[in-house]
Amino acid sequence: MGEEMKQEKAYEMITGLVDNELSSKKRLQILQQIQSDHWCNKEYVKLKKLKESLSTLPPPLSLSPNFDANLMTKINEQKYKEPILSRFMNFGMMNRVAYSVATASIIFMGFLGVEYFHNPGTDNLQVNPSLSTLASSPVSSSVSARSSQRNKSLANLPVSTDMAIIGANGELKVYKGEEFMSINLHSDNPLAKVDHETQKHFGDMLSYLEYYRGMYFKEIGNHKKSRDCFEAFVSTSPNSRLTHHIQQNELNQSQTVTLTPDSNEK
Amino acid sequence: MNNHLEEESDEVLMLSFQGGEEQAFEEIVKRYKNKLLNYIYKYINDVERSEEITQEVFIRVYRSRERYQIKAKFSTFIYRIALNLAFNEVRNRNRRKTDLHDEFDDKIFESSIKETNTPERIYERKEIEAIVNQEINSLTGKYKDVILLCDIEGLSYKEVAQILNISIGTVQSRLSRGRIRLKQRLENVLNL
Repeated sequence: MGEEMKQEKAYEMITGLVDNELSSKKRLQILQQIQSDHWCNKEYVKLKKLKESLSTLPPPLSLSPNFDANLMTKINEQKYKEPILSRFMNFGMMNRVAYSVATASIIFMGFLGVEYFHNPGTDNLQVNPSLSTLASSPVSSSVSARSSQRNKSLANLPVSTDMAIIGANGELKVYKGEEFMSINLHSDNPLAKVDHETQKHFGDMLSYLEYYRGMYFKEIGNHKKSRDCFEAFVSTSPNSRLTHHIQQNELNQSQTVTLTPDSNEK
Repeated sequence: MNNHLEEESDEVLMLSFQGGEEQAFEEIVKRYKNKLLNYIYKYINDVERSEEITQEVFIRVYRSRERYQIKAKFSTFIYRIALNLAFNEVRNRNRRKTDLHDEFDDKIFESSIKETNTPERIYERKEIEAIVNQEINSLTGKYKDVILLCDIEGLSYKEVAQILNISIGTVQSRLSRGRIRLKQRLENVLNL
């Protein structure tokens, strides 16, 4: 066994020698061994011949005449499929900056377009009363509704992560930061099934519950119910700016009013 | 311009290609297409698929040109792609035994007929080549990898180590053992 391992080690050295991959010290060492040892000498000759035979094996294949053309066709196809990001990274720096600015501008304009011209004749009402802006203007708690309120500018909506969205089925979805809850506005006691902790967490949003209900019932044409809800809200929040707005717009008129934020904001 | 490209190293060509010079890529294709075809063929033993996979190697080089870094030898980069594709091909398809007859397909004969040797000589050489290829193919994967890259493709230990992600010492020991096995099987065929 020992002899076998020695031979294996020697063969490794011979391999390195034949491939010219040995350090000068090891090269000298194995050369000396080849000169003095018959077995090493024999194996060295055989290995040289084997390597020469293998390295001079002619390539059995040659490429088809259409190889280059086919390759370029496939590459051109790939160019169209290449991921946008990959193609983008191949542009020069100034071009990338220009394209980035142009793309960002388009996205921003699209966002503004959606915000300004979005027709929520979709089924959702979005109500975002922000307490900080109510202090300055009741109309900041603007509501997007059906076509009767097209002129309202949604740009006046305060930027806030708190939001309430009223679904067409009367489901109110309340968002506070990353938290979310939903309740049924049809119910006369919508908070009955909401636990105390949740009510407390969403308290500032839920304080407008009757207002939301008023808006919902107004939307579905139940003006009596709407009025009742608004009156309930007014009675609980007599000093709120929103109360003033409701009293002026919702309770004094029986028809839908178009909010004109510009005139009211000032 | 083409003469200028022919003199450049693979690494410089890749840099030029990264900079948008498509002709540099064409020069790379020209240099490596035959080598890769035969390397892949020795790996997978399928004439038709070898050409397809060779194309796929270049497509991948084209697509991933940004990822190539000049500190690595280009041969390492491209052979690694080729090895991965060939390995996947072998793993995915159904293995079928290739006997000597499969090696003598019309394409091989067609190219050899143009040579000046006698038909007997040509046949004898082809037979030897077929046997050698068969024996290489029958080696265990780790030995076959190093034999193909070192002895057939002529890459250095360092390049092979990078392609296969092993140490130089491991390349040397696997090469040594692979050659011992080949030598035992081919002693008579090659008159060693």
